[in-house]
Amino acid sequence: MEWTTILTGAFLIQVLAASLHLATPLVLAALGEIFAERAGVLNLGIEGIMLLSGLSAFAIATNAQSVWLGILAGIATGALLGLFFAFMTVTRRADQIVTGLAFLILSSGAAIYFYRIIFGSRSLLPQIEPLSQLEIPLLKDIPILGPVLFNQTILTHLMLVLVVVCVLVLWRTPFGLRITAVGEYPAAADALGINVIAVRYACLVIGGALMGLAGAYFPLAELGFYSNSMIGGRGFIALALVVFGRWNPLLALAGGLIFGAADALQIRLQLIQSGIPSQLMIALPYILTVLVILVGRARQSPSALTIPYVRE
Amino acid sequence: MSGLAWLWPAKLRNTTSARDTLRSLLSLTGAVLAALLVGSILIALAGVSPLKAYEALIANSIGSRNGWGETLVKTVPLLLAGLGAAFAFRARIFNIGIEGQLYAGALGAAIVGLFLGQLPLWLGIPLMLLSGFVAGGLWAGIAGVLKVKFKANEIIVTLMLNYIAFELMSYLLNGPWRDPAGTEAYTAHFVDGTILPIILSGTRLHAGIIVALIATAVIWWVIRRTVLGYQVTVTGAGEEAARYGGVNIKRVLLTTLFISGGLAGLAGACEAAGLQHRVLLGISPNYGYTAIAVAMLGRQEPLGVAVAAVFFAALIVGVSGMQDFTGVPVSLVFIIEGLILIFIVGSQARRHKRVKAQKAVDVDQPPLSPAEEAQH
Amino acid sequence: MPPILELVHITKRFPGVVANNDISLELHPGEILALLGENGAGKTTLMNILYGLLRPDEGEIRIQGKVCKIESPNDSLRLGIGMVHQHFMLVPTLSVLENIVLGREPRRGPFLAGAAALEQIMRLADEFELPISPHDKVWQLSVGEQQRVEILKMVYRGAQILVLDEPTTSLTPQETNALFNILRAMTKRGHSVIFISHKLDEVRAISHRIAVLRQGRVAGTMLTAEAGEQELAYLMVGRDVVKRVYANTTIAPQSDASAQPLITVRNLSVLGRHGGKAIDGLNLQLAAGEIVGVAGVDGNGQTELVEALAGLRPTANGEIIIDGHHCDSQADPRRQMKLGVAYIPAERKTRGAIPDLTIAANAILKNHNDRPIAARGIMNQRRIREYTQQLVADYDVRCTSIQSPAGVLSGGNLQKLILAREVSAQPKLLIAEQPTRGLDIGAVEIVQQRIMQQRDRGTAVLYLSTDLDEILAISDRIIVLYRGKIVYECPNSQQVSRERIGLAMAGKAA
Repeated sequence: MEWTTILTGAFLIQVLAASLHLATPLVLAALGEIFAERAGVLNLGIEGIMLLSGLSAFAIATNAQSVWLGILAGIATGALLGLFFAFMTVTRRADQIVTGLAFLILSSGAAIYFYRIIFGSRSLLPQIEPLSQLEIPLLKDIPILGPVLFNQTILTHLMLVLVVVCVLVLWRTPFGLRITAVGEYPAAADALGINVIAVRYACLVIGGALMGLAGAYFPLAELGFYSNSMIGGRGFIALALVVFGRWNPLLALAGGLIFGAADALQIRLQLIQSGIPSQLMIALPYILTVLVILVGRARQSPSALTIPYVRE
Repeated sequence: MSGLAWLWPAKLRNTTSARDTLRSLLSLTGAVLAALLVGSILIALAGVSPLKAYEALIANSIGSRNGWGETLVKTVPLLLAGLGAAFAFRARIFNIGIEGQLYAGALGAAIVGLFLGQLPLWLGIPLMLLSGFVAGGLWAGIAGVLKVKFKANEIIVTLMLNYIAFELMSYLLNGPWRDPAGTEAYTAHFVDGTILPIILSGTRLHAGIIVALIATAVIWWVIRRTVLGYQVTVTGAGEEAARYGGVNIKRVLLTTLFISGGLAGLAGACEAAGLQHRVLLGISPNYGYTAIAVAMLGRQEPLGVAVAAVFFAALIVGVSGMQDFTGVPVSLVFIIEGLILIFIVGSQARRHKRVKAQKAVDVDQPPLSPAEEAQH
Repeated sequence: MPPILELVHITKRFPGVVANNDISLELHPGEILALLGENGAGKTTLMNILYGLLRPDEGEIRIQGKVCKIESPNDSLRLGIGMVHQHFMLVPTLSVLENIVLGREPRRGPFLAGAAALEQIMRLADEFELPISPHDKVWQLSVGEQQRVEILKMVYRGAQILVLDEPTTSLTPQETNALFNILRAMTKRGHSVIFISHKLDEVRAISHRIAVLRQGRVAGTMLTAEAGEQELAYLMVGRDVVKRVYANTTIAPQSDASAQPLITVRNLSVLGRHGGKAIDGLNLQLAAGEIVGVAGVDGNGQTELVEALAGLRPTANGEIIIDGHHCDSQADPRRQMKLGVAYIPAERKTRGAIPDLTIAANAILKNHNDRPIAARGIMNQRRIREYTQQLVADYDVRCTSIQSPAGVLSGGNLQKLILAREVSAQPKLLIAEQPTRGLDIGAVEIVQQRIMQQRDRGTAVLYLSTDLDEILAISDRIIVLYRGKIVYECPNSQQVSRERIGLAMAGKAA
């Protein structure tokens, strides 16, 4: 490919479509983290939860020969790990940051370990046909919008729907109101008979499920195989998106699209003879994350974030 | 422990310090045993007898001269990197970027080892170590500057810097610094004057262990006896009070991150100059993450970190041997590390609760009666 | 009429302490019962039992004659008991309406029924004469407004019994009157009120009946109309002299207005947390050897003024001159320390001290980098020990060892340690921010005496409290802070009008 190919409309549409595709797991994971953090729990286990969910999703999918069962398994694994994180940080009141780091180390080991146990050390890489794009007739023929929006896997559409659902839940339902209260001033919520512990558990389990879905996306919708490095820090990028997006799903979506675009662009730039070292290209999303963090304002974080609740 | 040990208890407590130290040791040992127990279930899942596996583990790590040699070889990076993590944690700075700072340190050492020509040992080694320390310190310093200037969360920044450091290293080893005679991505052999000599014949144990022990003593001294150590501890225990007390928080944060990254850099320099004699992509099998577990198990105390580093080194060496014998994957190490962390952090939380209960009583205590008051 | 609430032989023990000792009380419909007592008399414990945070070891609670178990705040609310805490239980980032309906939200399908909620709340607000602005965020409200929201919140939940814990602490006298009117209106509608306070005057003004608690026991119960002030005071503290604590006992101030000011603040502006000017063109002079009391409702710039003076917050405009030295606008606590500014912060456990560290480590917080504690970056352990032992001995800080964590000290002893540390450098300016908050009566006395001693040796003292009585008792001169400005200033004498100061606190100039 040549530099000039970048400037064609077809290329741009390709990049846009790829942006949305690559943004999908980031935004899903960010939604999960938003639930956790708005309720006052920093779930630093996000990267590990995504990795283990991805593994379980892939294992079930290959065994049952069903991508959909795999996705369900990913969601369930994420929810279970969210439950465990809740037990540690809400019930045991363990330090949220250290627990998150423990999750990171534990899951990186466990993923390799269980992969070896489940699949053995075969020379042939286990693979599965990934989720195909859902080509919606008529809609996909709309110029520009069609190929970008309506030539994606259904998980991308699900992600867009979930963003809207999350906004509604957080700002238009009693549950959302209670989440905010629990994250901002748990003692006040408790005084009104709101079960702080239960709300935090619910948010961590819902959040875990969303992270699990995000984790399942990598082997089942993107790669078609499992790799220990497939998450590659994307959990932490999602964490950065939450700060950047000021705990708002819509802004997190916007941030996710920026990342998707950067990722899509760097993948394509690697293919053309640009002269830019490929390592710089690979590092681009990480550099971008650091820059994005500078824009976010930690000051607006929920007041009770990282503080376990104890009735005084 | 003597000296100023009494000045800074790690946690609020009422009991005598001897009993408390014992209890703390017991709870840490308990965490380790619990993790090994869960580990044995996982070993059984892999179809291997846990008893045989742990037997192989011990035989390989501390069962022989060579095993001890290898354990101490792995102790070098774990101790240095663990000290780095512990130093930052003391100030409640979560430097998760030890891994990247370790790479930076190895690259820093390579500047001296590759490009300054032949050097005498007395100059080459200190210069190489210094360069590694500074490189690691500066890499961590990026996170420090961003935290001080933009209040950027150091957890995310240092983590991202790990990935960036790896790509930087990959670029150098695949490009300008690549050994022209090599078949893979690694640098040329360091010049002789910068190589850390072997100190235990028949093993790979090199002088890096001396560097690590000196660093332990120095960090102990800094924490216990210097104003910087006091300020680091105070900042970690209560940042607002520290500021009120006239501590320049920004300077403490920058200094702490520089020293923390510097220690990680030393780990990378010692691995490069003592073990590999060059920089290669696989220079660190996640030592930087294990360092977090080392710092936690060692309770952020230099002496505790040293013990924890030997323990994890033995575990890594033992499990590697176990893999050869029994086929249990070596990644079991990370599972056990993670579990130890989980058990430690779970049991600490319970203690915290007990203290809370005591405080509640304190608040409700009635005032002294007038008669008593008159006496005082 | 049968009592709506009965406490029967309630006893609650903590290790080493009997916090509530055989307490029996009853509350009748439409009655305001005052619980009068000093800090530590057992009021808080009793309230927490009613609130469901603590369970009594002995005794029972009856509501409308039926024995009830209160296991959680939820139970308490369900039984019709509504708590209004001293620190409001309101979520600052949510609106008034959201705070009121929280936990009992009217729904339409799965969603919040906003319009229905609004209508219902406004109707209640009208009925109980509790004017509110439903869409404002709570952090924007004044203390009095927040209190109204709290009360309405309880009414919305159907509370028949309202328990108010020290509700007037940070109200202006006018706001206090408004609160009393609300409470009277509520009793007319059959609600009952438990009014917890340590202030004799207020208790006498509002209640129908008074129960005095002392050392965990009911020292006496009487009708308000029949209770004499001396008698109540005696029951409360177990001795005759009550006013002693708040009396400025030492000799009259040595300085007079013509003396050269030690501290001059000229046209000072300081930005607040949210960016606006929290201190706005303030002028102030302090002479050596005077206590200047700063009255005002919380949140009118007190924090920012104190932090600017202590070098913890940059100034936006104007000057601070300390004994002839002009301070630059940057925040630099160390510079202020060197200039002789000492500061006793209101937040003892987060700013004034570090509970996890030893008493010794806390004692050297301010001078840890100065000779003789440290030289060339290295600390001298022997000096640290000697210095700490000196402070502990001089100020009678009761502790088992200077190696104990500061967190195990009682509030009074911790405050003595902080005070000792702050005055050990012989400051020119001593800022005392809420120095007696939450202390028992003995400790209050000691802290205030020590501060007056400092005044007597020539220190200028800036004394901040939201409790007007305390300001009136200790100050030589009083200033009133309102929206970042000094709106009233007067020497403290018998002629000072409480009313006048109260109006100023509410921002109403004469």
